[in-house]
Amino acid sequence: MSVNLFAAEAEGGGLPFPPIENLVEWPAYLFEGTFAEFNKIALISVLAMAIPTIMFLAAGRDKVPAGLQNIVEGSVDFIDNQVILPAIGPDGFKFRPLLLSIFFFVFIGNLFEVIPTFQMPLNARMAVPLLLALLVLVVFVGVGIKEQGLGSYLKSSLFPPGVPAAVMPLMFVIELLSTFIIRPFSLAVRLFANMLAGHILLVTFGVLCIALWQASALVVILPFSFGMLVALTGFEIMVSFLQGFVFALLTAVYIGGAMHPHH
Amino acid sequence: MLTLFAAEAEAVNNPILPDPSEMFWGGLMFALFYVLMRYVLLPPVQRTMEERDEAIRADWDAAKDAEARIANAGAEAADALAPTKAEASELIEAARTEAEAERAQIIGAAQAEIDAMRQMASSQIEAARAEAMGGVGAQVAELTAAATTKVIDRPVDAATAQGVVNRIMSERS
Repeated sequence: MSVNLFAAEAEGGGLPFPPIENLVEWPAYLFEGTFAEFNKIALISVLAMAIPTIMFLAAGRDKVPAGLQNIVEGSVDFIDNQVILPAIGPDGFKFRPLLLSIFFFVFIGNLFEVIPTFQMPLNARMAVPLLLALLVLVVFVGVGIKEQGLGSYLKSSLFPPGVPAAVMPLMFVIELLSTFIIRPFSLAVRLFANMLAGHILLVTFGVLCIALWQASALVVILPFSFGMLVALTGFEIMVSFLQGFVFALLTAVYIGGAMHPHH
Repeated sequence: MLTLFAAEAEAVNNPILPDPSEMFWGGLMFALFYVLMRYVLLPPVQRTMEERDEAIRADWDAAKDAEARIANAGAEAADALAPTKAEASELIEAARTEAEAERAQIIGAAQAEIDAMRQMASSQIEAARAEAMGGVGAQVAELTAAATTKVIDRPVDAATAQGVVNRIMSERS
């Protein structure tokens, strides 16, 4: 199904807006038809792993940091001071590798939204956000059980203290859903929906620019549309970073909650 | 017939549903990245940062030690200088007292000399004045005797005239 940009030109053809499948689904490059089908999303996954890996390996080890070493050490400091310490506390430094991995994987994966020839964020597909959210669920439940024991963890998670006995069954259902279903679901959907919306916005303004370029009378509007496209590209770079930060921060908040249930 | 199962057909290709192959590659790459981050990438960065923190802390401690040493050295120098300063103060005070006494003595001697000179000058002035007055008196008495002799046409005793002149001059002086 396609939608013509200009109703007046619908009969004459106009420029069709691409269907949603064309914006997010990509053909296989390798292993077509197998469980390991390798398409653009898989390639971006590889690059989202490879780019920060190369950054960390190439960063210097000088006493006075410069260049790439500044970025790498700044990122570690950022995760320490803005994610781990506020959300977990000093005993959360053992989760530094996990939180750094989540931050970089999500952030670099998102950045492909604005990289020419790719122009597709990794997390505008549900696969990776869902996988990471399930991983976070496993981690914070595991941490809770390890720190408090199974019984205490389930009690602190499902039966909040100070609640009257009469409403306890209701609270049990609410807490069960909110902690073990809604948390990972909201984590995945927040990331996925933000990146998909940004991707569709950029495609919309990109297609609009092309359509205006072709429509001779309306070409005067092109600079505004192009300006919006440039502004939204900058905005999406910021969103890419923010989504990486928010995902890592919420992971740390859930882990912190499992480690210190009364805080 | 053609559109009867359209909803089902779209559900199969629903772009929102996760693709298993994308999950496989995403999961594999994230797992690899996590393992690399934990065992290969992060440890040297952390080591470098910790070594820098350690060096900064050591330099900071050394700077604080040096600062304390400087403060101690200053206090020690002040302690060592205290007797010398006291001695210097005493010497300065003694010198000042001695100079003051010497000054008073010199001023006293000069004042005595000035007084003596003034006294001598005063005596000399007095003597000169007396001498002058004596000469003037004699001449005035002589003139007075001569004038009186001419006026009264009788000789006037010079001694009498001298006595009168002396009495008048002593009354006027």
